Amino acid sequence: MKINWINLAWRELSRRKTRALLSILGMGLCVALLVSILTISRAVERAFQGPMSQAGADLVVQKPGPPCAWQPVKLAGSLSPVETRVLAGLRQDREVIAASGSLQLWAFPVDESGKPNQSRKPVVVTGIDLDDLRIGPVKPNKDKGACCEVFEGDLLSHDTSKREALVTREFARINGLKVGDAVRLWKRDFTVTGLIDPGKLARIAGAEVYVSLPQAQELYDHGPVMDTLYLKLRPEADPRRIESLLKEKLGADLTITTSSHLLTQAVGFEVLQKSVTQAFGLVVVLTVLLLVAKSSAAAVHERTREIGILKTVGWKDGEVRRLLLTEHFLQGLIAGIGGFLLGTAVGWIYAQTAVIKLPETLNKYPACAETAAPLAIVNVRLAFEPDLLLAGLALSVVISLAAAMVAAKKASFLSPSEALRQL
Amino acid sequence: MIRIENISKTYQKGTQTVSALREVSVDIPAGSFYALVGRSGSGKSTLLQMIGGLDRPTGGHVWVELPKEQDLATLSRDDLALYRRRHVGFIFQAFNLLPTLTVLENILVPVVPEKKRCQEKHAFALELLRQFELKERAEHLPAELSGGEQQRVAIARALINDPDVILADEPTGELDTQTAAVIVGLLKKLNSEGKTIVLATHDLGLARQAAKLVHLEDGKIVTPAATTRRKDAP
Repeated sequence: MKINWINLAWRELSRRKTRALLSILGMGLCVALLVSILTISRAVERAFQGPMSQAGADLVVQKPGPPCAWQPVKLAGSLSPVETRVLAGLRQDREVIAASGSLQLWAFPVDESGKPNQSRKPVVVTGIDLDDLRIGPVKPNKDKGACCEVFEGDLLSHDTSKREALVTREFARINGLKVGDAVRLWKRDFTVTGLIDPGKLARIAGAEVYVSLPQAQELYDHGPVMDTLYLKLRPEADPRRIESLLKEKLGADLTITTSSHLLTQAVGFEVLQKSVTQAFGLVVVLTVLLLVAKSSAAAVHERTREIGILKTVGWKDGEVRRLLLTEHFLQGLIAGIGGFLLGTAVGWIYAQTAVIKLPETLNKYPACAETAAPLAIVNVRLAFEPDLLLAGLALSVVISLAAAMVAAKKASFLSPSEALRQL
Repeated sequence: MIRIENISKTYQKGTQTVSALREVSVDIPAGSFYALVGRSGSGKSTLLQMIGGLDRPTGGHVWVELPKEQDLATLSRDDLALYRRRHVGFIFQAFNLLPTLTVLENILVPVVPEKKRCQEKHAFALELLRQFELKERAEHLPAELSGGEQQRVAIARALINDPDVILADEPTGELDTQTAAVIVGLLKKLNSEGKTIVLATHDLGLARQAAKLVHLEDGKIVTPAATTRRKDAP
C-alpha cells in the first residue's frame, strides 16, 4: 500500500482502537441524538400537515363557546355557531383562493315523542358545503367528479332539498347500512347515496354521516350557520392580516389553526424542537467536545515518541499538525455517518410506534358514539434528510477538529530533542 | 563542512541549571568520519543534536553549507525541519521506527509530506531494501524484525533523502557484536561513498572505526587539539 496522509492517520486510529472508538462513540451519540430529534420533529411536522392538507386549507377557524345544554341535535363539543354569510366576504378577499365551512353536529336518538332514546347511540353528523369541495372535510375526486373517498355509490347531489347522506364504512358495517338504505338522524330519514372510506387519516370535522350543509343547518335549526371555516390562501398572502380580518368579523376569541399551530396544540412539539432541542443540543455538543479534547490531549501525550521521530526525520510543525487533524477528521467522519444512521434508526422506530392525536376541538365525538373520532395521526413517515446527513457530518467533524486543535498545536510545537529524551 | 563554533547548551532541571555543552568548537569536513566519544552525560548526544538541528545551542554557532554557509541558530523552525529532512540522516540506538508502519513505509516516512517526492522515492526505497538485504521484509512490521534488521531499516530511512550527513547516536548499543560489525561496515561504506558520518558512542572499540575521534567530558572537548587522528586513517 502506498503511504500517504490518510493511511498514516488510519493506522494510528487502528492502533489506538479503544481510544478512537470511545471518541467516535461519544461524537456519534451526540450526532445520533440531534439527528433523531430533528428527524422525528420533521416527520411529525409533516404528519401534522396531513389533516390540513386533507382539508385543503391553510387556516381552519373555529369560535369556542360555553358547553350548551342538551338538545337532540347540538353542536359538537363546545363551539359557537358562525353565520355562513361571512364566507361571501372572505371569498372576495384578494388573498383568499377559497373559503368554505362545515357544521359538525351530534344527533341524539329520540323516540316519536321527542324523548331521548337510551337504547341507541348518538350519531356524529357533518354538513359539508357542496358549492366548494376543494376544501372541507370531504374532498372531491377530480377524475370521477365524485368524492375520492366514496368507494361505493355516489357523492351527495347538489339538490340540497334532498335528504341524502354519505356514511363511513365502519358506521355502515355496525348499522348494517347499504347504498339506498335510510339512516335516521333525529326524526328524519336520509337516503344513503354512498359509502366513504376515510382510511386511518385524522381529519378535521370528521363524522360518521355526512350531509349537505343546508340539511345539517335544518337539523340544527338555528339558521344558516356553521362551526368551522376553511380558508385556502394565496402563496403570497399575509396570514396575520387574514387573522386580524377574521377577528374583526367574528370576535377576538377565535381559534385559528395552521399546521404549525396544530403541532403546538397537539404535543408541544414545536416547543421541544425550537428551544429545548437547541439548549439540550448545545450542552451535549459542549460535553462531547470537552471529552474528545481530553482524549486527544492524552493521545498526543502517549505519542510523544512518534511525534519526536517525525520531527527528527524532518516533518514541519504544520505537517505534524496536519497528520493529527487528519486522524480527527477521519474520526469525525466515521462518527458523523454512524451517528446519522443511528439517529435515523431511532427516528424510524419512533415512527413505527408513534400515535399522535389532533386536538379534540377540531373533531369532537361524544363519548358514547359508535365509532371513534378520527384523531390519531398514524402516518408519521421518515424521509431521507440529506441536509441532516450533511449537518451531522459537519457537526462531528467540527467537534473532532476543534477538540484536537489544542493537542495538535502542542504536538506541533514539541521540540524533537525533548521528545527524543522521553524515549 | 560543518563548523561548530563555541557552542554551549544549558538545561534547566528544576531550579538547577545543567551545562550539557561548554564552548565546544570543532570543524567536521565534508566526507569525513568523526566519532564523538565520552561517558554517559559527557555531552556527545547533545552535540549530535546541535549538528542535526534537533535543538538550538544556548550560545555559539553551528555553521553548515546549504550550499551557502548558514548558522543553524538563525533558521526558522520550518527551515530547520527542511534541513533535517534534506541534509541529515539520523540513526539511533533504539532504532526509532514507527510500530504501525511496515518496513517500506518506515523508510518513506520522511518524504510523506511531499507527495511528489514520495512517489519518486518509492523505487529508491525498494533499491535501499535490496542493498540492505531487506527486500523480503518490505511488508513486515518492525516488531517482526531482529535488532540488526531494524537498525538496517533505520539506516535506509536515514538515506531516503540522500543526505550529506549521517548522524548516528550509539547505533550498535542494542546489537550483538556480529550484527554491530555489519552496521559499522555499512557506515564505513556510506563514508566511502562520500557521506559525512558523525558517530556518538561510549564504545572506544567502535569509535576507533572512525577516521577522527573527539573526546568529550562534562560538555567539553578534552583533547587539546580538539580531534585525535587515527594512525591508520586515510
